[in-house]
Amino acid sequence: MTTVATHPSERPADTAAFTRPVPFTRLVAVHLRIWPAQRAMTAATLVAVLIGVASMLFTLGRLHAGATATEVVRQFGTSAAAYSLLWSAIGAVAGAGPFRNKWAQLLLTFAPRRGRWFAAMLASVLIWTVAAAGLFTVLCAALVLIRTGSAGAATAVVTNAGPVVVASLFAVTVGLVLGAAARGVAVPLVLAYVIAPTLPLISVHGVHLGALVDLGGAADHLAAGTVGWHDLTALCAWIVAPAALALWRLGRGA
Amino acid sequence: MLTFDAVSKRYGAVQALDRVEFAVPAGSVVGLVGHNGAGKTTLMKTVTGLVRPDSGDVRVDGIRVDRLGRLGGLVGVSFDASVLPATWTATATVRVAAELSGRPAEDVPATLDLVGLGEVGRRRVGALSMGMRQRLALAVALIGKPRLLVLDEPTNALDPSVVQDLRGWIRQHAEAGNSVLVSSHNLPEVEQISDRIVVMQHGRVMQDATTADLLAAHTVLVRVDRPDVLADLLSQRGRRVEPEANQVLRVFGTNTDEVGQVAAGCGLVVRELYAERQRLADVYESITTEGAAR
Repeated sequence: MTTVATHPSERPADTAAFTRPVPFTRLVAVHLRIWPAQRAMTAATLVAVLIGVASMLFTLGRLHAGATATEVVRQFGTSAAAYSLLWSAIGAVAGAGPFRNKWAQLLLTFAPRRGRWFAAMLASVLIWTVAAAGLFTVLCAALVLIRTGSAGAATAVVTNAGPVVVASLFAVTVGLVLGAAARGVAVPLVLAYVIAPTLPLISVHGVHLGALVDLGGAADHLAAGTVGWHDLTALCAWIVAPAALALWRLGRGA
Repeated sequence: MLTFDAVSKRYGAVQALDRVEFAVPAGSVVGLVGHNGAGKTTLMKTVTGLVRPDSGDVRVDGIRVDRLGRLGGLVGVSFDASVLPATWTATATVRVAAELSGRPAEDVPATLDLVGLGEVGRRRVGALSMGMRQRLALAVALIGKPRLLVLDEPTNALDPSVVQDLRGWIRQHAEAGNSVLVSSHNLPEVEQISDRIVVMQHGRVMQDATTADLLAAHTVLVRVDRPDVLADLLSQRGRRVEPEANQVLRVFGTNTDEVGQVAAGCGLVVRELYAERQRLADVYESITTEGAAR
């Protein structure tokens, strides 16, 4: 610092203008600038796409030359399951990141409305997830085109991408709210990858209580568009409750 | 500009803030001093809402902090440099702050230059030295051109030349009509830059006074042509006077006005006249010792 210059403050006419919150879109845009700088987030996303594409390559290799579009889409569904596997972990990394790396404090010193900030963080992660699903789908469609030479089969992959998007959005949301509630990655990983798959097995006196908290079942039904009341209880248990806990902790301190 | 009105905050058994009351007027620098754990950082965090008081009000320009929706341009905060994300570059960090403050990206290089980081903008925060990170935290606080600056230990780990420049900058910022609340363990520095000084201990304000009043020793040194005459006159007025070398008198319990008037009243030639100032370190020591004894 060799020279000193002063910043004459620009004085808004009215301090009350500062009671208006930072525009939501600006908060989302800031997060979309932040995520690529988070190595864990970028690396995990790339790994998810690579796993999905590798799976697609493997399944395409097993298809016969005259495979129909229906068969290709079925194989795409299998690859999509592999692709979606990591998204709870990516969500957990995203949800815990601002607290583990402390940048939540940095952002909140500019935009102090915490619920709004949390919503913007979630929205940005959902946009990130949709973009990654788009990349995965396009890569798979390109592979199909190269392998089968059928533009119809490649188009079928793109038009059947909806369930992939929904499944990854669901998984990332669960991971994010668990990560933000726990402010760490380990607990969400155990919950999403160890506890969640075993809970549906719970049955007491012949009553299948596990169905009420069946995360995988809810994800499947959501992707298929056949949501039942069991799925709503699962959504409450895996999304609403952790989100409420995350917001409560956020209200107490960043 | 900034007012704390009976602000209290408790963490379990610890009373972090206990009915804290003082103000930071526009155009002034207020120094906040106190031991570790006195409540300085907690108090500063209430200004941005990072800490919510259990009771009392914190207001910026008359508006309660919890009603503020955006702070960029109004309040700039430089906290612990550890809140800066290690994987971001210096430029990216300040750009995020600029975006949230509604400042154009073109302001980023100028602000980095201002804190002497113009050359290292592309370096990751984790690769910067402690002093550089501290300066980056300062750049984040300054980018919004805030009317109120809140600086927590801003000169920690800074080079002496940078400290000197920063002091000058803080003074200029205040003289431009802005306000600065600065905490520091470096008492000579606080003494030098502050218009008011607030001493905190155990979450309470022990002293809140202008720097001049706080450090006034009520002792005057005067050099006159006939010190014996002046000493007699002042002694008759009940002042304690001690002669020093070179026709100098040390007069206790008075001020320069009184001594000057007495000397002028009997035609003495005053060659030097000034009030002795205490050091902040001594005043602070006495306030906190007294506070601890209560």
